[in-house]
Amino acid sequence: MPDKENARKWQVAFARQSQADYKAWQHLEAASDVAACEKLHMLQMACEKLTKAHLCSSGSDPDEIQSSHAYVAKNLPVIARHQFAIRTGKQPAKYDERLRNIKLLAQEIEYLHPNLDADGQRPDNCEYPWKDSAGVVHAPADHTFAGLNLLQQPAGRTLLKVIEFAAERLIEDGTLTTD
Amino acid sequence: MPEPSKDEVAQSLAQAHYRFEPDVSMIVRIRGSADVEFQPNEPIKLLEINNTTIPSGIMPLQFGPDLGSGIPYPSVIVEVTPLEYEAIQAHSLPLPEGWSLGEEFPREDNGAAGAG
Repeated sequence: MPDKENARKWQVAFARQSQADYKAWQHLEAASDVAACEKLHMLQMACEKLTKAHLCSSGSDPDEIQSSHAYVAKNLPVIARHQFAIRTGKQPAKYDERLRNIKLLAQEIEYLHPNLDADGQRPDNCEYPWKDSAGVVHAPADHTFAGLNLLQQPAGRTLLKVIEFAAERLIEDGTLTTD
Repeated sequence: MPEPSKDEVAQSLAQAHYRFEPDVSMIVRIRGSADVEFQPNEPIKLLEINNTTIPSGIMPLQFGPDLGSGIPYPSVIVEVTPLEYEAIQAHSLPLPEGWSLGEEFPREDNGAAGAG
């Protein structure tokens, strides 16, 4: 059974770091001379830490979630659903499509990590060069990551709001119960 | 080929968002103060009224130029719910200082226009 007090401290710490990564992403995103891979690396880290903060708040043992990076695809949509429920007071079917789109984006964000490649099907990532099935070597710096153009992708802007709000909420909740 | 004007790109970006986001019911230009609006590095600013977003108040989201999608200017998107838009119009939800609502971009049904 994880120590609840310890879990709250990790919840707040992961959420704080997620906020810092998100802020760094905002600065990089607004720049015209920064490669998409560098921008998205920050976003991937913000999302990974956000999902770890969420898991700490949900009873996971902080020691057991430190090393894995495979939490975003599964848990970011859960966080989004939670934010929709909090902020709309209900969850009618009209939000279903938006949440489906957020789920697709969450999967794409998870693939940004070089360790997560869907058994070789998605070697593209935002950190290290990879070789595709035709033997062509790609540098992340030259890749467009079209599936994560959040200015254009459906629900892209909503996902960004979810990330920002969820980190705030996890910090507030963790701080209130800790102090 | 000359670079498209900021107005042309704003129109194109708005139509692209109508196309990709069926729940966007209206897009309105946000104008900054006259002395900054005509500078090339001043972002295109769009207020998007979305029926299925979460209420957030005014949360401007900044994006850099996206040359691959035909957007050579930075942009700022403010996504709000219909109720929040009513509050903006009633001045109970104020825009950031120096910003004001500009022209509406009506949805083009043919889907021919659009960034990307």
